[in-house]
Amino acid sequence: MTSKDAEYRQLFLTEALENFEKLNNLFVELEQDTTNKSAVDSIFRIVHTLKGNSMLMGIDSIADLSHTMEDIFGALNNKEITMTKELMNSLFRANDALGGLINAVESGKKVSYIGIRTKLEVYLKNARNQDTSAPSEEEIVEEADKDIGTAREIKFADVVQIPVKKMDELLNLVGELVIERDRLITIHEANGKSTLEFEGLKRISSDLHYGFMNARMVQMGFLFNKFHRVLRDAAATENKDIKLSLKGTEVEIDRNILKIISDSLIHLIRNCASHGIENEEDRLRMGKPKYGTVSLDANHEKDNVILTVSDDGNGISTSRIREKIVKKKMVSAEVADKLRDSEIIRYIFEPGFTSAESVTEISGRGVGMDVVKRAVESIGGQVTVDTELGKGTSIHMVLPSSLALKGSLLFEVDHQEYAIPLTYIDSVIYFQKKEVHKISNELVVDYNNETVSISFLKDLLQLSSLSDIHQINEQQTSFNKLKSDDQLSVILTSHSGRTLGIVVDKLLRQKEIVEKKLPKPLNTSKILSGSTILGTGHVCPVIDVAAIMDMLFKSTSQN
Amino acid sequence: MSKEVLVVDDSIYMRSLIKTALSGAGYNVVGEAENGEQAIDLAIDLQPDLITLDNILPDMMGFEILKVLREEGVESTVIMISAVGQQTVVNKGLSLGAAEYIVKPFTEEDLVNVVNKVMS
Repeated sequence: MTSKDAEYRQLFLTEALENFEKLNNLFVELEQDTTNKSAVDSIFRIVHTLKGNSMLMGIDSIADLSHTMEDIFGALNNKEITMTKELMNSLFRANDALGGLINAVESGKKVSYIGIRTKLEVYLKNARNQDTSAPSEEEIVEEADKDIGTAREIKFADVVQIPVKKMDELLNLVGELVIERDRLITIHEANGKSTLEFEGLKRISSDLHYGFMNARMVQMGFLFNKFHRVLRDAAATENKDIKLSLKGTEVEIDRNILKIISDSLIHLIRNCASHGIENEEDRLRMGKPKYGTVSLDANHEKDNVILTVSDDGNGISTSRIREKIVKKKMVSAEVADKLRDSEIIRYIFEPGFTSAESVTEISGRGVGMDVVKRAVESIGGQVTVDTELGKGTSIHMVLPSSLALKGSLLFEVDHQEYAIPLTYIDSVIYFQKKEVHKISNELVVDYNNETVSISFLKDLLQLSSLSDIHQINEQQTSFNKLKSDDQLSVILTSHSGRTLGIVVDKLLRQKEIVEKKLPKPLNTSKILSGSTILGTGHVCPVIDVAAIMDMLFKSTSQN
Repeated sequence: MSKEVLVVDDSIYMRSLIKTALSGAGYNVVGEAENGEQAIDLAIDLQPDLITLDNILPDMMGFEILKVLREEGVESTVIMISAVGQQTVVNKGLSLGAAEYIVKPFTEEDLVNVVNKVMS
């Protein structure tokens, strides 16, 4: 086994075990209420994933059993059959067998599953044939390939498998170590002592931190290669001829990020197949090759990985979107007319927006673009769209390559330290109060010949709810208190193609931070994404730029 | 070495009858199954020389079991056991590779004769 194989295998196993865990819970839910549609849906989805993954891994037994389970849940979903106590019992046992098979990938233990699989198949066949009096007994053409038990030889791979959870715990500890190191250094500095003797510790702990992050990295190719099948299935359903082109498969990214965005990628690819790529006649008429192409491309840029999903289809019509958002009352007609095309396009990421006229089997259900956006932003990433009518569409996702360490800018507001991740920051600028203009309740400054809105973080932090964001513009408390030659420190942030200047009291320094989730009940705060602990021992909240910008943008376009 | 047999029947009475008859005739009954699911798993596990297969089981038909077993590479000799009037199903079994069939009700002697014939 090569080390890469082992890596894939480990990823497969970990995911399969997680899935099995979910299945267990779902089955319990389903037994309590056999009409639970969402449980049926979820199980269907999970066994489908398991089937696909295990086929790719070449683990026929898991593929085989999950295939049968998928058939059953598909039939339940389509109301071809109804849940009975007998079926429920069989499914429980099938689920147990599935768990046994997954565990057997590592243990090599023999697990019986063909009996229960056959039982389910027969059940399904009989249930489907119940109305038609003559049972059809058509034979499935014999499946020839029968491997005769591949003998297991004892072989030590030069790779150890570590559960992701353990890695996360270790990484967490290293994060704590770095925080503790910074604290010691700060105390030393405060006492006026030299911190030179800490240099070694600093270097080693940094190396350790990066080493752990690196160990969690996997190559994009691992995820990319799964999409051959996704696209093939989608193309087949749409009756289109579509090729997949992969670039940057060797780019490395944190395994957890991969996991968070994998569903989004599936959705985007299906979107390309059903909405992006035109049918054959249209393509030929446009002078394009008969087959469409969907490309997945990964690139390193600084600390980020840029992932692009593009198709050479028909592109997105901004005039259609404009019509639609007005019709759906997402914005008024006057506002829609004033918005630039680049702003219009962004509405595809709003909840409740679906652009296709008809709902197809492929992309009509499941997640929408808003879910893609949310998934990407939940890890501090950004999504943008490029589209040209008649030429195609590209969706770019800027993702952090690691979740563990974030380059951030530290600053102060009301003597409290805060941080903003550098991924959102374009630059830092200083203005005098007299350079700030008021345009209809909004504060703006001119910067590089662009008009940029600014907001005082102090005011934002005073809000009892982020949805009251428009009140700021009416009151402008902090702004009015300033003298005309007072200097404003402005952090220019950008997100989703929009720019906002955030005014803070004092800029401090740049620092790599370990962001932690906020504990309850603080985690309901929309304006903060998390927090970190500084060398001084102070807690430093991390500002959620994406959430602020989204709220600001919403409130202005609705007025 | 005596031949190994798996007995498949949903009636405990039938199973013990078959078991007693075959043990008496020198066969070694290595397993009993009362439904299709068990039958398939045991057959794959034990790979017996002979399977006596009741045609109507609570979860599936005998021929359905037979089909899966052949797909899974189980080469055991199979004797189908059926009640009267199931000729079509018996034919189905034979076409899938059952060696012989016995119609219920049968005597121990009938059974042993048929088994001896196919196993010789």
